[in-house]
Amino acid sequence: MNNGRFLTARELGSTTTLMLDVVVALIPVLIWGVVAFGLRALLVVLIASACAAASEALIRLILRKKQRFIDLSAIVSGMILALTLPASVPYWVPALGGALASVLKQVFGGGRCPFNSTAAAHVVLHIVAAPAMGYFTAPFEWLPIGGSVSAQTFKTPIEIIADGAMPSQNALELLLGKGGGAIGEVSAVFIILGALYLLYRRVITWHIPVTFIGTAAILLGFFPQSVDVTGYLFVELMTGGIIFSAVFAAVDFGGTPISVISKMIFGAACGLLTVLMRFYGGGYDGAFAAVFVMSLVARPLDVLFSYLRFGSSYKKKNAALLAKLEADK
Amino acid sequence: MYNINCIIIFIYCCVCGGFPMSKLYTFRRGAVVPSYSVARDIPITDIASPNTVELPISAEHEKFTVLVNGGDAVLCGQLIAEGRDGQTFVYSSVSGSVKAFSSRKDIAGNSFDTIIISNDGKYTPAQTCVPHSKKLSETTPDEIIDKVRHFSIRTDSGEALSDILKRASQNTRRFILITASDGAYSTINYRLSIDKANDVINGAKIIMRALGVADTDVFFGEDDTEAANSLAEAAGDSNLFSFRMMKMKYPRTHEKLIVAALTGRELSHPLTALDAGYVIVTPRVCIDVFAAFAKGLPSINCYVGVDGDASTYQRTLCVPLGTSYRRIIDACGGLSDDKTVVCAGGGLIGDVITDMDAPFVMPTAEITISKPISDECGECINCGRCASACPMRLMPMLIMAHSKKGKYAKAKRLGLDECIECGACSFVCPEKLPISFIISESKHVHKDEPSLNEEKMEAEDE
Repeated sequence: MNNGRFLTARELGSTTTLMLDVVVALIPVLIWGVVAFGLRALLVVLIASACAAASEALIRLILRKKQRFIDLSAIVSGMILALTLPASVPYWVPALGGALASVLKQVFGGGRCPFNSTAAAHVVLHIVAAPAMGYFTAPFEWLPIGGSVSAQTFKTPIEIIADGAMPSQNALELLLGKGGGAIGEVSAVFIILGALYLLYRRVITWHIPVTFIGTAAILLGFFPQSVDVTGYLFVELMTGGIIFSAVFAAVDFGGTPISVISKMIFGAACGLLTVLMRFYGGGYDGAFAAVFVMSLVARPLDVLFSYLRFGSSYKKKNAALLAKLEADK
Repeated sequence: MYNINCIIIFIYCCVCGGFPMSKLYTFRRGAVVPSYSVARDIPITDIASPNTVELPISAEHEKFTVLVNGGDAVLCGQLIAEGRDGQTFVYSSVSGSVKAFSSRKDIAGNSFDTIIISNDGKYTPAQTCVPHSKKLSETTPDEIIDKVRHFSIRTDSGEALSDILKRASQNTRRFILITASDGAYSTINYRLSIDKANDVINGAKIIMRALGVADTDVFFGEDDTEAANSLAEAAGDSNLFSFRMMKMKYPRTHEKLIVAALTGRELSHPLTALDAGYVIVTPRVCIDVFAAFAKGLPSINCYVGVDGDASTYQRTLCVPLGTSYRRIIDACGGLSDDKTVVCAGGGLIGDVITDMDAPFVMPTAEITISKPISDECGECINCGRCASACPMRLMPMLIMAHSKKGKYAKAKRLGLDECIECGACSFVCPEKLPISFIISESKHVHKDEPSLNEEKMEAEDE
């Protein structure tokens, strides 16, 4: 191999660095989740990550590929998935979810999996474990590690709003994370901190989060389900998975578009789908499911807009120049 | 009178780019490649004369008429071979005697004939090397182009400068001189601008007369201010040279990106900058043109930058054309162990040198001596960094995936032909995949195939 192009960017780091950055961004979210929901939440996350890593190793062994623990992508996948689950789920749910995320990803080609396998696992869990996914506990009332919930004991702000009322907490409390919901979705502040870190480290770009949240905000603002528009807007945005999905969905590189215009379309469409699911889905927080649906078309979007390259805005001029050169020959 | 109005107007002018030096020219995308070069700050050095030089005396499918025989004495700058079409001339770069005739294979595997001359180290110039007798203002453009053709002066990419001048004469939109350094180990443009500034400026003036242009745009990089100052000093008060600073981004010396940075015009494949009326030269070209007129010497020197993380002696060298790689490596301390790799190119573009006895035939070269290149590569994780670094705004990882599977029609649709092979994509890849190498290979394998064929693409889909 006569390849003389050996220089690589030393300061940009490797895949492990990329994934480590994501883990670092997730840690504040995780910590708040534990503060709000107790050690059970931590256990859910650990189980999901461990199952994801183990399943990835197993599948790669079966498919006879090299082992790649070191790149942490399975652990990241497990963490993100677990953070979208309620803290009170039975332990088989994160185990299944983590395993599914890894298996789906590896079966469809590893890094080249054409959709977001974490979001896919989330959607499957909603189908398979539907009741358990809907039971939430109130924040700061820690469920013991061995405990479980078998009925609806607490309504998340999203569910309250879907019923037409307003949740009891005020805006600031919701922002900080006292509203309740899935482990990672309660605290907007820490998610935003994580997002800023990822932007700084150039793991993600601003396009998807901004278009996702922006589209959702605009649509919700135009069709408020409640008289108090700003309060309504705030609750819808700050709780539930919109901010979390907008930021951490983009981390799964295979299911995210690459070119800028496809990213914006991806974000806008996700926002639209989420809002539709909330209005017509009976209080179902559809953010992560929206991500799954859009991730299926991420690669086709890229190919569709691939003609927008160097020289595309000068197409006519360049064609005219070429014709002139041909004529002069 | 530092009243508030003056200050506001001053700030307004600065912001609007009213002061040319403050405007940073750049293009979209690209990668930031820091400079690891140690040789940049050391003036151009000579090395002890090589014992022999080897010069090519044939080109693609064409044998030249050789004017000397084995054992003949030759002088520096003497014509030793001529192309049958009367367009190409080969000159001896040293004085000595003809030792032998041989042949060699180039990187692509094509063989070419060579002449080996043993060097007596005196560099006695031939009698035909006389300075140009007329003043520049009395010389017509055609005379300049003729002389350039006769002395076989080439651009850095190997094209004959006379062809370019002829095509662009009286038709040039802009004449551009690049002194920006590009890539991690680039030194030649920088050093030539500092060590031979007068030659560069005078050579540029000659080319300007041949083209019939009234000014030169000199592009230098953010970190090349010393080179720009040196050239500005040599240019003196002349308003023939406008100095424009380019942002620190790779690959800023590529012709299409220079045009995009200067005017915003983007040229797509297969147009070149020359097609659109932009003539782009480097300092070395100007020096060769000046030497042709001032001393009557053809292009006989080669400027080689030696650098790399496994190199012990980093310098910009001036050697006679035809010196072998081995001679240069030996003069630079040799290779520290068997596993170090010698690359022709700065680590972002280029090939590994396997034949150390091969001669330098291009007037500028970069040798990078580096630690062994690991063959291990990872899997594409679709992070998209390559796409955000590609200055042609392509998606390298998709093109690479299609090339690997042999789906060339699909790769062409995604822009395979637009690739300028700069290497920015593989530079930023976190998995260290040889993206640029794979894309270059597939480009060259399929450059003769007709483009975009619908049936072919459907066949590939199955």
